[in-house]
Amino acid sequence: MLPQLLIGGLGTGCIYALVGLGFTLVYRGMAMVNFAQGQVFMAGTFLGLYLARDLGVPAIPLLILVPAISFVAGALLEKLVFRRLYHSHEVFVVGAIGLGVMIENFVRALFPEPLPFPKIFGSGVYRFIPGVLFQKTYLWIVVITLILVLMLHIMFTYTRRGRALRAVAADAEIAGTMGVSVPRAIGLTFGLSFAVASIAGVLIGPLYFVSPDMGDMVGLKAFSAAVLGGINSIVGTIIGGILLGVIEATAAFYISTDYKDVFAFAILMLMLVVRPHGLLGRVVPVKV
Amino acid sequence: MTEILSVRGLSVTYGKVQAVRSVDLHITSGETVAILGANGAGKSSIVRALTGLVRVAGGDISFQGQDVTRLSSDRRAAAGMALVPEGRRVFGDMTVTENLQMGGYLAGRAVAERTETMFALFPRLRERRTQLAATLSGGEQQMLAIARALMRGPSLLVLDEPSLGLSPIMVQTIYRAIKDLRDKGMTILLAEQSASVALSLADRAYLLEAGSVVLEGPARALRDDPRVREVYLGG
Ligand SMILES: Nc1ncnc2c1ncn2[C@@H]1O[C@H](COP(=O)(O)OP(=O)(O)OP(=O)(O)O)[C@@H](O)[C@H]1O
Ligand SMILES: [Mg+2]
Repeated sequence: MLPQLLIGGLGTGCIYALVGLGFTLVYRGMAMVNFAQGQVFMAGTFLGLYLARDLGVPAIPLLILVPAISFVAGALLEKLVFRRLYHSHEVFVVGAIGLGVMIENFVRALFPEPLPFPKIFGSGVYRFIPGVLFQKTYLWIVVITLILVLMLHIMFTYTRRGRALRAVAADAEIAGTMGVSVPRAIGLTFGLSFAVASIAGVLIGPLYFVSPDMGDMVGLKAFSAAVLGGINSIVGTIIGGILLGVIEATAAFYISTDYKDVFAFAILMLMLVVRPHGLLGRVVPVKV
Repeated sequence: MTEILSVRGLSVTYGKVQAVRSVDLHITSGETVAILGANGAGKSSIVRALTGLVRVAGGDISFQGQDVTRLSSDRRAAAGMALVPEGRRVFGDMTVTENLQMGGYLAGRAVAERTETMFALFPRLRERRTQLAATLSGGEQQMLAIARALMRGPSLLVLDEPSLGLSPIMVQTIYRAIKDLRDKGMTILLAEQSASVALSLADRAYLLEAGSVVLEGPARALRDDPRVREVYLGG
């Protein structure tokens, strides 16, 4: 039974990791927490639903189109809304929560009922190991997450623009004096954070009936996963997300599906008591 | 000799504090100019205003004939300014090479070649090129900060207290490198508290007190001025 649990946990864990990455990217760049991340994820699901169901867009183009649109939306929202909220973290958080509520209600107005998501990844199962079923959707989730993490890693480590984003995250003022346009870098950061979260939205779609409130719990858990891993560490966030997914799946099986969230959060809190800065986190001096 | 930087009536305020009071300043191409002053005299505020890190409360800044008073710091970098900031501020999470690559953000294809030039200027950096900048000594970080600023091939190099917190030997090393740059024709603006070292290398200098220029002239003349001697001893 355990391998089966691990597969399920790994799948949801990857989703937490991707949405958590959205938190991490913005946090590293701005030292701010964008609590609308869960709703961005959900909006990605519904954008995917619309494109796949009504326009018949197949899986791979969908996985390019949805993040591309979300990227633009993120960069635009940064310019129109978030940019005015940086002066105080409290204001930013309130603004982000408000934006999340607005996104959720906007989607609810368009899609009032829970809906089935098209089986864009096919509905078959693989049996790599005898007795263990590997749903196609889970395979896609894991593979796409791996590809994304690799792409982000390559971008941040080896490309000029990726380095510039890291430089802005470390010291925006000095990065500016090197010729980096800080506002553009921040717009790019928000765009990226929206793009990754929206991909998670598409990946998870086929597993459930989708509804506009699906981002609430995922957002909270993804944030927790990011904190667990160390919110300023990309690798940490991935590990935190997967760990949370696996813990949750195990708890759901051995204890009860109804109480899996309680159990997951209890373990999370325990871990944070032991390691307050997360598994791979560092103490970050407060930015002025 | 063409004027490269011309500042008129520059004022900088932080809330109610007036840190810079109507300062005039100019630099011609190829010159090395020092801004001297005690702690809190306003040196860094001038440097920050010039490089676009703080909004000016009054006055204007013209750089190579272009009014840059309202330009953001990245546009000023593109126009040819480079800053070695107070406290070095290297990117600690990046390697020496990555720091240099960031410095060459606007340098395009010249990056690889200039990195070699920087390693020739500071051989110590070559040995440590894969090391994270946070793990360098203070002096090495200062070398890196200077090399990083030079990477884009600036037409004006602004240094804010490059000697700060360094051992006398390291100050000598750093200043020898700055002198090298000067001798190769680089235009340099140097803010320093430690007047003796700065005046040993500058062509001209300004002395700041409480945000105002109280004295300016050729470095040789300032070296003998009692008001400057007071600052040496104070610093
Ligand atoms: N961000 C700020 N907010 C408020 N006051 C400031 C700020 N930065 C500088 N000041 C004040 O402006 C004045 C000039 O400071 P500045 O940093 O320009 O001096 P400085 O000559 O560079 O000194 P030091 O040699 O110590 O670096 C000081 O009185 C300082 O307290
Ligand atoms: Mg200073």
